[in-house]
Amino acid sequence: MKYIENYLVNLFTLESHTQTERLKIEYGIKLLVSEVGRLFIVYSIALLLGCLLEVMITHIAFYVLRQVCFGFHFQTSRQCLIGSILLFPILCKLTTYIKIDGTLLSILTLLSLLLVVYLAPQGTKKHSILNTAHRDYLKKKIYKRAIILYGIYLLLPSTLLPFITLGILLELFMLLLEIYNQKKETILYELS
Amino acid sequence: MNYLKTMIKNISNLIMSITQNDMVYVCRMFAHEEELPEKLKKEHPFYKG
Repeated sequence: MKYIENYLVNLFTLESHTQTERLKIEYGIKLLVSEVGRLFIVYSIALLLGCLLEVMITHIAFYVLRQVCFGFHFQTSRQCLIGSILLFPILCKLTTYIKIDGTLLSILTLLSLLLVVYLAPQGTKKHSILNTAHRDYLKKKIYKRAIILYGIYLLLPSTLLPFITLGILLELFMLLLEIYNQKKETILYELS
Repeated sequence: MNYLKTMIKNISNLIMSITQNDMVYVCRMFAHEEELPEKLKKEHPFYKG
């Protein structure tokens, strides 16, 4: 992986680039290489389980919110890979066996989306929300994305709806996990 | 050859814009143990201090 990273950095770094631009390319390639590998594994498993479309829909719904809502992040890429396999292909496959009433699903989606909008954004220790301007910027994006996501939810065929809900629920879970971690750390800090 | 050079330049710009976009959201999409380099943090539109 390191070899591929270095090769790509050398290939895409031009003489005309400034030092900051070089850093951006290096950082961008490092992220892309690690992400492409993870996506390949997750989608290969999804393909084997026969739930590729379902995983894609769940992933899109999750990432649309994830990018602006933040929330819990695994500490290492390996943990993230295991988490992604459990939370996407396997959970999606299990969801295909669950039958849920359409009205109940709409209410669940709306409620979870409202909760996400209320709780987000939740920065982590390593990648925090920088200041009020940053928080406001993210909050505005969250409102817009939540409205668009619910609009898309209303337009999709009923067989695919549970996977949009699953994506939203996963993001809600990440937010709650991060809030729990922060509360636990505060309590431990106060006790010590 | 020129076509290849232009293509490399375009991909280079694309990678930079991905980093720029990721920086705005403070790397939430991808980064795990990879922390944003200090110098790039200063490029963040909301970075102060």
